[in-house]
Formats: sequence, structure tokens, C-alpha cells
Amino acid sequence: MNWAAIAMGFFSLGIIGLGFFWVIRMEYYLGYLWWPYVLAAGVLLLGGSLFVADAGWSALLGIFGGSVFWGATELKEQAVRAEVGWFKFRSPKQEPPGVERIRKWHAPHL
Amino acid sequence: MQFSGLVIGGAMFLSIWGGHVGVRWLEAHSVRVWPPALLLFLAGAGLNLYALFGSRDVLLGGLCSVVGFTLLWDSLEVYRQMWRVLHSHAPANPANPRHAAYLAAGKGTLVDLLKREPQGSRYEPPAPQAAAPLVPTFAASCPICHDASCILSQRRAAVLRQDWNAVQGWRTTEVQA
Repeated sequence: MNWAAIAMGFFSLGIIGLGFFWVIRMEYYLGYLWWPYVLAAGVLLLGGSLFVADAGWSALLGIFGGSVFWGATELKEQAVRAEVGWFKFRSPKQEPPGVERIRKWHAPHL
Repeated sequence: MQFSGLVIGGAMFLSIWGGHVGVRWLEAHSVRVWPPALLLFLAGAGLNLYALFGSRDVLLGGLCSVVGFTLLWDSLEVYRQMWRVLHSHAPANPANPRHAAYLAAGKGTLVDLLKREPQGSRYEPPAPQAAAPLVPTFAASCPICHDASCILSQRRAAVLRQDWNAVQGWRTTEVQA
């Protein structure tokens, strides 16, 4: 039996569940405009997994990177959900460096 | 270079993406919610069983398990999507008789409130629209023979009537409250 494979599945399930939590908290305190930094963190984690020799640890890092990448695409929708009153709304928020440039970019969402 | 992480991480992101889009589509186009949920559950369980018993390779097994768990999650998301439609958090599809029944009972909306850019301030969504002038005829055609008199058509029509009666029950309860 391939327990390592199932462990990866459970890890991904846990990391997705954690993703819902941190996306809500991050949008609440910092705002959705941090999305490029989160996206970059996801890309870095996925890229970093290329340099981990062990296949198992590389997979876990890749799963973590994939979930961070997904979180970046979820921030904008979470901001809209908070604005329409489905989640707690907080204003003002901590603006990221280069906020004026980021405002001109189209935030990704699924 | 170790590509396991990139492959599994990428597969996880793509399966979440596909799940997001697929669950919305399935819920909007299915007259009953349980068949797509059951299908997703069986697919997810099957992939996990294959990962556990059928594969010896960590990469292939991990890939199947990660996608399998995403499908299991999606099987629950179909029901959560139905809840979102009922509470106007997602747009209803008036071409779906089940959604048409929601709208006729004064539940749900045709507006996609998430389809806007964040403004940085509170937004008051428009009040839910009045009950749409949609009254189901309870006539359903069979997807195979398209004959309204066949047993499958009659079964589907009975299901529509059951849904309609259920939402009429909710409306009556709300009016009394």
C-alpha cells in the first residue's frame, strides 16, 4: 500500500483548509492588493521545489506553493465578499509597496 | 532537478481551478444536486483507492491522491454552491427548473455580486428582486427520447413538482413568520 501518496492527499486537503483561513485573515488585515506578492511567493515555492532532492519533500513544497498561488487568486473575490457584507469588513488596510502600480493591474481570480 | 513538486503543485492548482468552475457549472445545470455530487465523490474515492492500492510510484500515487481529495471536496462544494444560490451569493440559472423554482419563491438572484472590482468601501447590493413571474409547468422532456410521455420524462416532472412544493413551503413559512 502506498501510504506516502495518501499522506500527500491529506496534506493537500489540510493546506487547502488552511488556505481558506489565511486568505480571509490576510484580506481583512492587509487587503487584496497584496496579491502580486502572494503570487510571487507561490511561484518561488513552486520553483524552490525543483531544487529539493527528495521527491516526497519536493511534492509537499509544491503542494504548499500551489495553495499559496491559489490564495493569490482568491484575495480579490474575498475583498468583494467582505464589501457586500458576507464577511467582516475593515478599513483602512495596510497598503503594499508599489500600490499605485498594482491598482492598474487586473487581479487574477478563478 | 526534481520535478515532483512542480507537477503535483501544478496539478493541485489546476484541479482547484477546474473544481471552482466545474462545480458552479454542474450546480447551475443539474436539476437534482445529488447525481453530480455522487459522481464527484465516486471519482475522488476511486482515485484515492488507486493511489493507495494500485500505484507503486510516489509521484503518480501522490498526483491521484491530491486530485482525488480535491474531487471529494468538490462533491461537498456542489451542496455549498446550492446554498450560495439560495442565499443570493451566486447567480441562479433561470433555465434550470430547480433554480426557476427558487426564483419563483422569491429566493436567489440573477445578479452575480462577485463580478465586480473591489472598491475599498462597503457596498450595498441591490435588494433581492421580487418573485419572478415564472411558474413551472412541470413538463419535462426525456434527455434521451425527448418524448414527454416516456417514464423518464414523467419521473423528472414529478421531481420538479416536488421541488416546487418544497419552495412553496419555505415561502409560506416565511410569510407566517
